[in-house]
Amino acid sequence: MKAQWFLALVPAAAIAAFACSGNGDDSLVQGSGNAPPVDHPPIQVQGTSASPRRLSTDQLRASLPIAFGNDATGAPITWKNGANPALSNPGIARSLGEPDYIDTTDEALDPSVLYAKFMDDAARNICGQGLDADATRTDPAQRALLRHVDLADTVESNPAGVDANLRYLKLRFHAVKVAEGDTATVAPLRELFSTVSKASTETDPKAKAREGWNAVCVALVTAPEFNLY
Amino acid sequence: MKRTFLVLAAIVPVVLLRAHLGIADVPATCDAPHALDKYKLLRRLSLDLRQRIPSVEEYAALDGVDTVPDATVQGYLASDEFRRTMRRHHENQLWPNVSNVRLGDVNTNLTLRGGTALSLAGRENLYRSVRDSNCDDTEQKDFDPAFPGELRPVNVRAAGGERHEGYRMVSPYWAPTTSVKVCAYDAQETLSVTKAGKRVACNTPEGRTDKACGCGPNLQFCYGGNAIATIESALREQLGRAADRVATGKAPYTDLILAQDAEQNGPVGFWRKNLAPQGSTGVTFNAPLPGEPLPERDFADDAWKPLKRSTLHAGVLTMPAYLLRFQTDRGRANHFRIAFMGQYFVPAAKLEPQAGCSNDSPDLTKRCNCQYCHQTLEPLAAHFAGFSEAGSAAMNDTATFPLRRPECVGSNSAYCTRFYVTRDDAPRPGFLLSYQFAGEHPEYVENIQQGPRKLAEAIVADGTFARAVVKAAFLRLMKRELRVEGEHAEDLPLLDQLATDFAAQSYDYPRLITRIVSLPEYRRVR
Repeated sequence: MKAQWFLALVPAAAIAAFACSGNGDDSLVQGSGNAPPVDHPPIQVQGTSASPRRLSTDQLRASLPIAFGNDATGAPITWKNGANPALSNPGIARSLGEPDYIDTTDEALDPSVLYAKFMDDAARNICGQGLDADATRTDPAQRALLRHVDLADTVESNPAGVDANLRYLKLRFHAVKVAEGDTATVAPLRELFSTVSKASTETDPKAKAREGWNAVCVALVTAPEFNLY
Repeated sequence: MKRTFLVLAAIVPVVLLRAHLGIADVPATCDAPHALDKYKLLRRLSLDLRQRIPSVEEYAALDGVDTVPDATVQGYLASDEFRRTMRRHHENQLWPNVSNVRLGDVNTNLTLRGGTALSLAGRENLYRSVRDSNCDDTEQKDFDPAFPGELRPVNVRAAGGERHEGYRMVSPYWAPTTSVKVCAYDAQETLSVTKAGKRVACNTPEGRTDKACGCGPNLQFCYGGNAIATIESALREQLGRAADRVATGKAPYTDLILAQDAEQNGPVGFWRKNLAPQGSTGVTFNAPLPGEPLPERDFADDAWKPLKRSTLHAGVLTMPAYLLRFQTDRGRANHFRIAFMGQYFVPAAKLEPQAGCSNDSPDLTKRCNCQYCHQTLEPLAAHFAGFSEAGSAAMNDTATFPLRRPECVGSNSAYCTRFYVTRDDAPRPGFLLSYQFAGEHPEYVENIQQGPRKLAEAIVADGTFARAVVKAAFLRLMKRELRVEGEHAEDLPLLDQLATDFAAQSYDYPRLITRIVSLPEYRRVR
């Protein structure tokens, strides 16, 4: 349990670090919560750019169905808490910073540890839904996540397809356009897919690949590039 | 499965850090500020203007173009998603949740109170000559034929001076296809009665003290079921729709604080006509002005229709959602100052009493230390004093609210203590509370009489409003404040330019948003 908490904190730290890297100030003051590491070289920042901010609850509500498409019944896929949309739960929405204008009046948009924890929960839930929906579709063009691979493809059996799918997912989730010949950008995700697929205890090749893609999907959804803009 | 989870949990964060922060693979240097590429820019625009990421097809449409086309931005601004985005922005500014506000009291809230039929706790003594009483669990069959249609119970069970009627089945306005059990006195359908030679409606403070008055046809004079929640939700929506109009460019943005017209749906119209006139002093006071047009609206009618309001009104500032959310004149003025003037009260670092101040003056503009803020706040608050505190009723009806009521001096009546100066040793005893200090501050009189409209017109005229709107929009889109104060006020020319253009372009809000998202600063990273 302790290990899981620690692991949940790591993406939070990543999000917080990413968020603080361009806070719009002329100079970053060491020692503040936004400071870079003490051995960081001097930073000359033009302080006039837009600052990064994490996704709000409204944005998550509207964006998750865009990222994941519809389930097999045609209903938009979103993060579920039991049978209900988690983001419709007032308690969860408030924990994610949505004000009720009575007890809370500010829309909290800090990339907090609590936010990262919820996004970790969300990713594990919604990625499974997305892959389940894709598994029901024989036409890859109709799939949200596995558009350039067959369900049982591996890095060994279809390296070009896996890379194409990773490039597609980087665009879909992070708005990062990876050039066709660029294999370096997707290399960490390819490694993740491969490692998790191989480590899977499943025996069905489709199920092994599914676990690999699930890991990739969780990585994409919990990444700063998905949660900050 | 558990093993796979642990592998996944261990690997994902590592990949995350390597892939997205480049900690291990790149030197520890930060990029210089640079323009966002078109895909990232599309994502930023879409999230800021539509609250959602673009679809993969929308990204693909950028493949053949240099940057995000202007038409795409305009398409976003014309979308209903933009309206919803701006609804959130305006709710963040105006906090229009009034779901914790008490609209009714024991004289108007129908509850079961341990019986099987709904009744009013506050009228049991009036109806049955005994407290903690209820009607019998038998159907009331006999009604006074002298008052056809009013269903006044007769031949009720009487004992020891008490009267106990039966119940009636009634279709309530909040669920007209159902029927509920209501004690027959409480369910009387009398519309008006004669009191002291004057005809008074049953849904007024005078009328409801008559035992012939009940909740009226379909219980229209009382709250029950989900009626209060429906009304309060509609009041929030009413304010939201006013914000929608200006945010989407259907009206100049100044209408947000100046428009005389508004919209109302069935629940709001029904409430204003049937329920708000109850005007209890024990809860929020929302009685409409005498002679104010109150069109007939069906509670179940969700359609929003234009509503013409009196010249006293000023955009959202005089809507019930604003007045009930900020229930004191000072609270209303303070929030106005924050939301529409962009100004906050900040206590001085060191308090130095001003010369001639008093530690016990009831006039806060003269009380030591308090005066720092209240010298500014009190004249602003006077603009809202024409509307009831803890309510939304206009108080410019001199019949109901004469400037002075000598009989209120020394009185402890709910009406007097709520609206008038009752202490004989206080400044201006017997005057309306809002005029208590107007003797020494004659400017308050004009502020009270001309209301929030005067204040709104002033901040529009002197440019304060335009600058505040620009600052708020800039903050939302740029996620940082404009730097316009102190040593690093480098954004001051930009604020001046945006605010001047905003006013010159008829306060066209989508145009202002276009200007901000077109700034190189917006389209840059770091």
